Amino acid sequence: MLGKTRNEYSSSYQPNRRPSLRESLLDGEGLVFDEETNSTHHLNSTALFIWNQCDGNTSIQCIAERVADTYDLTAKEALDEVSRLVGYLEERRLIHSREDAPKEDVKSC
Amino acid sequence: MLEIHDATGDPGQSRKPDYSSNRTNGAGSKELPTDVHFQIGVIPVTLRTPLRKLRRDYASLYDFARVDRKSPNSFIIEVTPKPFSLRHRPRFDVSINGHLQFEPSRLAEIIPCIEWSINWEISRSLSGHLQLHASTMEKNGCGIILPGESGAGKSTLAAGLLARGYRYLCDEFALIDTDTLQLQPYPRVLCVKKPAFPVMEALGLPLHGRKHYLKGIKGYVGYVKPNTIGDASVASSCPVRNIIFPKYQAGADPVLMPISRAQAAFSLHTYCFNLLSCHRNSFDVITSVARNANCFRLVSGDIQKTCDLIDDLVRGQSSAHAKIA
Repeated sequence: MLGKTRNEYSSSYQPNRRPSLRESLLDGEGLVFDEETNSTHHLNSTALFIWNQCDGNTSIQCIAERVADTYDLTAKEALDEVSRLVGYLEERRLIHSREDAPKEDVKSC
Repeated sequence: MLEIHDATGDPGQSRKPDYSSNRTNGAGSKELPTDVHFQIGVIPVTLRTPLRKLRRDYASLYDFARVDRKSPNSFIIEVTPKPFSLRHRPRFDVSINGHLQFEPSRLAEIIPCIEWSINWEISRSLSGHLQLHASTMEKNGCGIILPGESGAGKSTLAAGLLARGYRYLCDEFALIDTDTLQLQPYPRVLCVKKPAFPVMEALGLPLHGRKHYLKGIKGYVGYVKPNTIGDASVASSCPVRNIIFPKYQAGADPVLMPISRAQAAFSLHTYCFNLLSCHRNSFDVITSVARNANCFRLVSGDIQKTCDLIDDLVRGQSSAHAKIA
């Protein structure tokens, strides 16, 4: 389960998956293997939905809006969920940290 | 709403002690009159010891796997008594392929030490196979993997299924060929802990020679030969069709809960002995195996009811398969 870490992110922050990870899709859920740390991560369908949009070009705000639309959540609930997952992924170095992330223009949703 | 799990490291490898820097006692490949040879599924083993009683006991345990000649890639297990000393109890050196593994002081400890040594050598040297900590059985050509920690009930469940005509592959390893993704047999004798002795009795599976052996902190164990039921009770290689994670809970009625293939693949990583040293990428092998299997968690405390449940599952799958065909 996700930890209780609550990270505050700027809504324009564009999380970006690390390219060296191995990924596999199994029945709508995801598995991510990090060869650097030999750790495996299981993403349920919602987490996978968010993960797939962590492409370095999509803002947290934009991801949250899509999550709200898809899973019928309020904007605040969706933003909380997205921030929580992004915090978790960042802690485990599955996405670039905010400091390392390349600065690019925010794409519109 | 969100669920994400992670597993880190290579637990199987870290559990295994690395004795490779220990002194060796010079295992050679030359055949000696004190050698006895076995082909235990895909694992060739040569036992080399001057202890006639041990040779007899081991050969009797593995009579179904005895062969006349040593395989060129045989695991050579040497058991030698240490020189007598007034200051110490008698002791034995147990080494495999020249690596000293154990120094048991009692005869009853030697065979468990041999079995442990083979496990260690498999996890060290069999890189062409993905290795999972699991019991493995076969029915109608379909493999069942039962992964679990020690105490999860893997061996007892394997014995229960064996008594019902399932064919045996192994009670400790799922050895999966990384090229074909087929489960391979390593039909070592089933190791049963003392609390499960009455269960074996009830299943009609006698302990070999009614003997008890000492297996470290696990205490007394007994061995059940897989050919107790019949010579055809050992399976050959087969594809994986079911992955069931058992958990023993005393007195619990069995419950079989379907889990997603991604969850199963994730859990399999935690039971993998050679996540890092596997010849092909273990992540790919595990996901491929899970992709083609039905996956469950099992909580159980009653062997007969549990076997009924698994029987129903397998029978249902067979009839569904027959209908599709």
